[in-house]
Amino acid sequence: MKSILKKLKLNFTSPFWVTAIPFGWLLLFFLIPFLIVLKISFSDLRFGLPPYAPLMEWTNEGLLIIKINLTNYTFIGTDSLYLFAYLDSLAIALLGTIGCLCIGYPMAYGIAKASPSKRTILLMLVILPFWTSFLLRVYAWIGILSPQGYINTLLIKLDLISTPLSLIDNTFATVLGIIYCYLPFMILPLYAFLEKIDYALLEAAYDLGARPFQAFIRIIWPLSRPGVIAGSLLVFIPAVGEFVIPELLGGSQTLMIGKVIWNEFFTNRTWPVAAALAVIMLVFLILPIAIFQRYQEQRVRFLDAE
Amino acid sequence: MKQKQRRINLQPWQDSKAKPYIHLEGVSKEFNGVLAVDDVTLSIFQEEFFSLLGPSGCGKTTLLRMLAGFEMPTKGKIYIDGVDVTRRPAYDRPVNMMFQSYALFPHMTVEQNIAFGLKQERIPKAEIQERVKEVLKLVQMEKYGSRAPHQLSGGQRQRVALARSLVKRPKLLLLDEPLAALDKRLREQTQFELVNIQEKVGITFIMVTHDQEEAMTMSTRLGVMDHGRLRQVATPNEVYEYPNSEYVADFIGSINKFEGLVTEVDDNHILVDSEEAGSELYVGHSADAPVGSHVKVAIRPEKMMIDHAAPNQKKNVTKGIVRDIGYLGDVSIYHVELKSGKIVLATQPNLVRLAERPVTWDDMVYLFWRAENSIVLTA
Repeated sequence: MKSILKKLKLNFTSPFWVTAIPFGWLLLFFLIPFLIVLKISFSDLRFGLPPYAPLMEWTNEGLLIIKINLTNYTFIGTDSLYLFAYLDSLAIALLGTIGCLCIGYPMAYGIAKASPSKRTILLMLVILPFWTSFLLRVYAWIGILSPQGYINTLLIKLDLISTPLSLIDNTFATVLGIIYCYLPFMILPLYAFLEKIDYALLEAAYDLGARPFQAFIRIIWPLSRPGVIAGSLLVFIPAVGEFVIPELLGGSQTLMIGKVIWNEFFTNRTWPVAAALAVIMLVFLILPIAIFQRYQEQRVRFLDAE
Repeated sequence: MKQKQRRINLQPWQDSKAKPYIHLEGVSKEFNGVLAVDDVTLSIFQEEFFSLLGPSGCGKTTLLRMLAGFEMPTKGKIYIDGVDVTRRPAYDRPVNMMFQSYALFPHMTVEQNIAFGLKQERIPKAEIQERVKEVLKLVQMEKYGSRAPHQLSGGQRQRVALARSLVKRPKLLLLDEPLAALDKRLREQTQFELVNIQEKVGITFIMVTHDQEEAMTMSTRLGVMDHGRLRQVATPNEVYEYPNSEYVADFIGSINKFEGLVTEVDDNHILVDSEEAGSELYVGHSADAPVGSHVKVAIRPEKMMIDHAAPNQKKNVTKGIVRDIGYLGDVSIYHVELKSGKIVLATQPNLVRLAERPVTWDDMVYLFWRAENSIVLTA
């Protein structure tokens, strides 16, 4: 077996193979599907299966016709519904990210400062919700927030309110759902960075006259910033395209882009428009990643500067 | 040299009227029912370089951390310059600390690290710059102000850490194993530099170390700790020449000990009959040991003389066979086995070349010492 491998010059420990596997994975499951979506976004709508026309066609005269249809994109520009859906999505995702950060940072900090034996348990608790179906967990919030739900029932029984509060089918419930579902994605990278910080640094800051809050702002916060950015991207990016949470908790007034794309695909069966919407969203989302990359590079440059 | 001079001129601990600068009054610290520091009372004077010496786990670091304000004593009081700081948090004490790991802020340059403490005090920018420059010059790091800590060598980081703790001109500087992370050569060189810097700035230093040599060379006085207690507080040569207990004698340098019975005691001598030594031991000082009590007589290896010929003294002399010789370059260590089976160490400076060494393996030799060079240990 070894000799055969040698003959074929297949050495699986070589750098080529080590990088080839993740690159192959990305090629197969990210780049190719994306190119397919891109292709659909440039094609004509047609009735049939699939519900779009091919880009290239051979005619009988040996003529190759390539049709690139840009009207899908221009159509999106003409209807302000799409623009608002994009903006709402970004706003809701941003609120969700900020909420996750506000709740997740103290939690991650607490876990990082706990004793090693407690840390394992606390991290387990953070991951524990993943053991239940995502859909079920979102659904459970309906039971908590709805007019007949636990919160309203309790408040009415306590005579604090007389009519139920409208806690569901609005932006508030959507943001809440996003915070709840994405919190672990914020906590875990934050914890990874916070745990690496040498807490003698904090003592050094106190020793030099910094009060606890100042020491935190000047030492812990800047050192955990890569974790904040990583966690925020992990929450923000999937939250923008979120479909299930606004569908179940957002009601009709919340229009996020994920839901719009779903409608285009399955209700209107306008695949090319849906594909164009998805491509635009991707471009939107690549932007923050590019900014993060630049920030990381600058950091490395500072640390290596002569 | 300079240090020696100072010790003669300035020995405030011998002056009963001198006011201590740092004073610990019955300080104890308990962690989960275990006493890490046990009833320590200690006075340290202005401009002293005091060392806390002891094995790991003896409580010296806990004591230091209580002085810094990172731990609160369970019992007792801490005074700095006459002010009770026992309950004050670390950021509110006129004390700075140099950490063993240096604890330099990795996201700041050397200058920013040093300026950190001054910025907390809201000192004007121009003055901060000036003081940072000044202290960088003091530690000979002027050229490295804009570097990040990870671009510095261990010795350079140590200097930056020192500069950062000095720049606020604290009343007391605490050093937690300041040289432990340096290699031997650099450590020896830095020892003297640290002492020089301390003399220049005139700040009181308290250093924690487990390295007795370091404590001996650098400090004006040192305190030997064991199991949370201070066993002896004295100048380096007092601790070495007159250890007050077997523990201190063993901890600092190596020492030969002979068990024996006290046969005679008066104001200026003790006579001990020791079977282990095979001789009557005459000690040139008195001790609190009645006739008939068991004591240990201790002699440092370098005080042991070694010769083929019998000396003309009847006491403090024994003989044995050379079992081993350790050649250390400057000195040789002889392991001599006595009749009782006890191995005695004797060091001799190598005044002659190795090849001409007169005393060699399996020789029968006499070991002898002067009465004033032995000490009686009762504790």
